[in-house]
Amino acid sequence: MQAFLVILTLAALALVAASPRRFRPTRSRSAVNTFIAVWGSVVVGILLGPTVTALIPAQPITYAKPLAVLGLGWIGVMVGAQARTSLLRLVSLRIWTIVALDTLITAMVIAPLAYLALSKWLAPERPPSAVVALIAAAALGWAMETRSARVASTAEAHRLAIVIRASGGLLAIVAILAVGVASIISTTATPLATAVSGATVLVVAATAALLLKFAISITSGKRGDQLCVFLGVVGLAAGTAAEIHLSPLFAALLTGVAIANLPGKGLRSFEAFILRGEHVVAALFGLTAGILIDIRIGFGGLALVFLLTAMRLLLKPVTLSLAIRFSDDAPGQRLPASSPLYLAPIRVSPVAIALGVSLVLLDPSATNNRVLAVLLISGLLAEVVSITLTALGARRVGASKAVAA
Amino acid sequence: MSRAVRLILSIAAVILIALLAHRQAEASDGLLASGAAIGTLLLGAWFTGRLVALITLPKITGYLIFGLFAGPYGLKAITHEQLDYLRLINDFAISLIALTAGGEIHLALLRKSARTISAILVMQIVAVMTGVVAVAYLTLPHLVTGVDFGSNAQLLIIALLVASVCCLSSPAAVIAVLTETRAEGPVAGMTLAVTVCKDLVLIVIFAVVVSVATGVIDPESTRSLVSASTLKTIAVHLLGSLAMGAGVGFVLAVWLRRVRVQIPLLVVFTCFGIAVVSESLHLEPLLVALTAGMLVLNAREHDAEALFDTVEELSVPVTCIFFALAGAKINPEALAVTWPMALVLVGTRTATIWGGTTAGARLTGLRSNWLPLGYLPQAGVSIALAYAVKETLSGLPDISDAVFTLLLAAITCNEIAGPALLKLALVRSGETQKDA
Repeated sequence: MQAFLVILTLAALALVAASPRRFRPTRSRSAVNTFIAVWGSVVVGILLGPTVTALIPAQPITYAKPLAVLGLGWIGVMVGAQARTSLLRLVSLRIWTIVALDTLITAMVIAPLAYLALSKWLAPERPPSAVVALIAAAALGWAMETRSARVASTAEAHRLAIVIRASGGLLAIVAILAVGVASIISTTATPLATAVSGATVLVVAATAALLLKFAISITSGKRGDQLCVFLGVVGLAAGTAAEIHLSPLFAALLTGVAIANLPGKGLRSFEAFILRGEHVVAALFGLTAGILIDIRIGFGGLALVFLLTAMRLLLKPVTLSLAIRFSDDAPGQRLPASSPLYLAPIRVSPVAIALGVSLVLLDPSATNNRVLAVLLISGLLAEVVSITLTALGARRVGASKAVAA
Repeated sequence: MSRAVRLILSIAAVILIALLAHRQAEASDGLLASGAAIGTLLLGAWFTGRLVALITLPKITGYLIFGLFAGPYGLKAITHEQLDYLRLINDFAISLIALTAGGEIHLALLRKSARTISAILVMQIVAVMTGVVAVAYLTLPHLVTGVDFGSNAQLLIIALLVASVCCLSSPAAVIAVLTETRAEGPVAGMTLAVTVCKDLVLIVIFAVVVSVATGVIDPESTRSLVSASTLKTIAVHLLGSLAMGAGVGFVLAVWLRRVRVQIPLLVVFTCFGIAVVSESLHLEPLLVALTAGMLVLNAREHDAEALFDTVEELSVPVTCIFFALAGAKINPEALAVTWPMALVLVGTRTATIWGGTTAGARLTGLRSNWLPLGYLPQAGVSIALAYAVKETLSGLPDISDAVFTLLLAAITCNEIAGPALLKLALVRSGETQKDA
């Protein structure tokens, strides 16, 4: 009976997804982007998972964990691949200011408040340091997607969208680095052990990148082979880190950084090919995350959800505005004084979900499952709030076209 | 540095990383470590595939060799625990490989060649069943020493079980070699069509033989040799798989006609869906995906191009991990223990497949000296049937262990040599593409 329900559910989802209405971008682009990207899959995962309908049996969920490690690796490599030194040199002082200010405000305001809310929720237990670090890191940055925001397509708005995307990308790197370093420190007892763990991750990342470079040089541009070696490298780097109880995202990020900075023509076209798999990974990963969580978070958890969302709503637009105001416009780089795009940073970075999943994979305790649920629910809420506010703001100023950033 | 040396160094690096990780992980969680196993198998097998391709062997032979070399019976870079957790990946791979196979079967061509396919199929099954049963009946008590095979009836039924496993070929190996060589022609087409059809027929034959065997081995059993419940189970199994395959094919066709986007997402979710649901409903994922692929190809050939292009892109990693996993499960000790009887069995199988195929082809006027080599590879399904034989004979522990070890040894030989012989057949028939 249960299996028939799974079939019916999957068929219904497929038919809904196959409706042409869902794929008419001019009708509701933001809804399409949101559904197809990670959040829609998270919702489907929650619905199919053990705490709602339990339509997906327990065994496939367990067997899906290695795939989740692979998904984390893919995300880590894609984030790390942005850190090409030639690109980083082009990043303006304004964007670095935004990154620094958001990191500071997250560490000084969001992290302490989240710690207090966590202490109350988990009392009498003390919140584990890894969980606090994770909540803070997940609060860093914002989603890099700005195409769905329907605002006036002016040169200024276009530049602002680029600033949001670039700072979001850099903050994702900072978040993964922070959690990675925290995981090394928290899992090792002595400074020597910390150094050994750190060195292991570095060696694995460097070796994986070199293996990829050699493999790509002999694939003759065949896509199937490229995909195979990429998945292999991702699995090797992220899986090895997970096996020794370190952050798989961190190892994959370092691999991505190494790949991006290795010389080689083939690697650039290879990166473009790998980006095509973004949707598949996001959807699979969101589904896995949704299935893994326990949504019975109680009032304490809900309070934390609202606190995190409210802080994003209040602080993120202010952070962006302040940083832009305090940094001078370079010639020809003027940004709009007001724009609905200033509300876009309310949206949570998809990397936050990845960070939460890595916590549950490394330590699948009941507390960690509920913490992941808090992150996912607050992320979903922030997504809805941001999309609604941005759309309302755009309607107020009478914009009709999307920013093609 | 030559390419071969660089490939060997790369393989060594992959294995070293896996071994170092096992060493550093004090209390390794098999589940998490299996993420690393995926990476190790994919990367190591891919490099080994490239290495053996330098000496013109098919890449899947390299994938198998890497699995064997790095697996739990080799260097232990992949452990038994890790392999257990990769079942979902394995089922996903079977679904995708079968979807590819379905996408190769044009009903019009199948109808046109129906006579030849049936003739080869029937002659092959008759020849292998007769030949292997006779040889196993006569030689088992002499070459497998220290085991009492009991009465003549019992020995005969054991020989029948062994023969039905020997009949099977590997659709996955055939698809992998055809994809790699991009072969097109009568040998390629006939090999695929007969292998797939034989798989379906053998599911029925094997179930009947198992039912008969259970009745003979357990004289206390009150049921008839081929019970109504057995036939009902087979019917539900086959018809259920076909029905589910048709349903999946219908959804795929609707998507391809009305949506036409997110094809990679569609393929990945479809294959995982087939893997998970087939296991829950005790259906045959291979048959489900095969039916779906056939339906999409033949119902919407024009739209199906995008789907099968994506399937082809995914086929390299999927084939790589599927055969590396199959290699990792090979136990060379089995070969060491039973090699004389295993060699007899492999030789008999090869000879009877050769004879049956040649007779079937001649009956319908098809002339190809190389065609029989296409039916030699064996892989995952054969191993699964070997386990089923072990289970059937579990009431006779000594015989069960001996027969299981013997079957594994024979399958190992066919698994490693089969793909190379199939490639040889395709090359000699001039059906491979030059740039493949």
